[in-house]
Amino acid sequence: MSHEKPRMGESAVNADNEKLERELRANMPKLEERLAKLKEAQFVSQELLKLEVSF
Amino acid sequence: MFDLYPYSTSNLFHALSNSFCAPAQISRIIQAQYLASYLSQLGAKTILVECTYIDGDYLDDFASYYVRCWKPYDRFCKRLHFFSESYTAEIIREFVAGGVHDTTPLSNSYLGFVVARPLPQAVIGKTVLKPYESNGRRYYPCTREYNANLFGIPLTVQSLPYQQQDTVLAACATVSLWSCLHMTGGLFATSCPRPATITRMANQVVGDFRPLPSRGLRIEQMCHALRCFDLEPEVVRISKALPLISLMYAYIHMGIPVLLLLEAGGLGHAVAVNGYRLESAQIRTEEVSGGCLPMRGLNVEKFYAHDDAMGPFARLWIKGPGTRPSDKVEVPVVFESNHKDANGAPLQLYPTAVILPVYNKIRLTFLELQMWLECLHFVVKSVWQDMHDLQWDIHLSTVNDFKADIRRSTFRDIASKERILLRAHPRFIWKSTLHSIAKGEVLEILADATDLKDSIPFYHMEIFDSERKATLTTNLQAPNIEKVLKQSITEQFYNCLKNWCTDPSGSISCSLQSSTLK
Repeated sequence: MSHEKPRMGESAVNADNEKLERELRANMPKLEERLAKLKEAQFVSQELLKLEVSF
Repeated sequence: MFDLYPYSTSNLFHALSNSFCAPAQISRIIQAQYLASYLSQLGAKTILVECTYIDGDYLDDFASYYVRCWKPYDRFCKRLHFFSESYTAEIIREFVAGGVHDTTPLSNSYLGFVVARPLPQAVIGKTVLKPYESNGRRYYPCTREYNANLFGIPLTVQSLPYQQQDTVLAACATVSLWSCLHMTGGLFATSCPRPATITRMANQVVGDFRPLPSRGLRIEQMCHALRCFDLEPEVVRISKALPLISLMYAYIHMGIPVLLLLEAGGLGHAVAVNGYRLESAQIRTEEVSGGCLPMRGLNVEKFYAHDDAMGPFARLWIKGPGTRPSDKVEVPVVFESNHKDANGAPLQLYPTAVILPVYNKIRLTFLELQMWLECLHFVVKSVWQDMHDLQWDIHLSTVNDFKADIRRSTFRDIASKERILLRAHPRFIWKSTLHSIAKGEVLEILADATDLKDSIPFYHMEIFDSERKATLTTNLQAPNIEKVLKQSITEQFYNCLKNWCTDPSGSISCSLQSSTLK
């Protein structure tokens, strides 16, 4: 089995990619939380429309 | 006939007075006091009073209500015109009929008009006055050109009509709707109904009170009134997760006024928000506790609103988060204006909801768009880690306004302008630009505002720095990054971004794909 040698700069790119992957994975829960909050903010209840307050 | 006075507070109160309401009583009306202060700040020097003026809005009120009262209310109003130059009656006569054909000096000094209604209390009728000077920071997108013909001389003013609430034919909700409908009428060619008509239409939905005298409207009644005039009411509930300032900015920027519903001293109050003051630096570090996209709302210092209980272009200062007293709901911001509480302190105005009066083809909402932008921000913030000062400028635009901006742009080269200008666009666009405070515009992405929320709405993206585009492209193509992005931002959106990066035209070839974010 032969192992291809990494080309010049390739290992650095790979290391950067791995770092980026870790970063993205670490931030995924935050993204999910923000999307959930936005989805919740979109909800308009019938109670609001029929709110017993006049303007 | 006309009367002419040098501008002063007492002359203003005198000009507004009528047989039911003496100048001394006028001086105690909050809206009249506000007008006096506002006109002083505009630099008013002359008041010209058209002594007999028929105002269509008042005439409709008169026909709907006042004509059937036993008291002999007049159907004629007065109209007060304001100028920033001092004129004598002789000079005005020269302009009108004395052979001075060039009326430019009169036009240039014109500040607008106020209709004085012949009523006991609600004397301030249709008011069309210039906003405060821009100074490069104040923006009034919700204004349009109004013509006032003074004895045959055409005068124009860029404004939005305002009037004082009378609680007979129009409470604050009706007056705010009336102001909003004037603006949307210009934007979307929909109708600009009279206040009495708005109240009548709103009361097709049964409310708490008898329709006339009007004691106010409920949210569903306001929504019904908007539908009657060919608009779609987009109601947004105020919650602590809502980036309210950026949301309001996004619609006002295009000229769509925002109906802001407030709780003030335990009562409901509605105002028509029509402008904002934008600072070059951030005023606050976050809009929503726990964070959201960094957006233009961070730089908005205050809003301007037509408040029928105060005056036109009244300042709405933005304060920190708070808890609404009536239902203990946490709200992201509390507002303050010139309203005072019983102790003379600024009255706290807690937002309850906003109603956005949009044209039926504007379907994609700010919050729906924000979900997609959160995904994009998640990618670019991680890839371009050297940029810590990113901020999104998100706003609605018509295709014509958008193209006019591009043509005027000094930032883009000819190739970039042609890519945008020579292609077809939807009629309404969500334009989102990512700025770096230090480095300027980084990325622009366009979304089709007429699209469905479950379809990826973006159709064009441009990164202004080729090195950054190359970095993004390389990272998107890496297998490990592909895997994690497909999990987080959906496979379809990932594919769109990757396809776009390899397409030099800047078009995103994913407009027909649908994808639902979790």
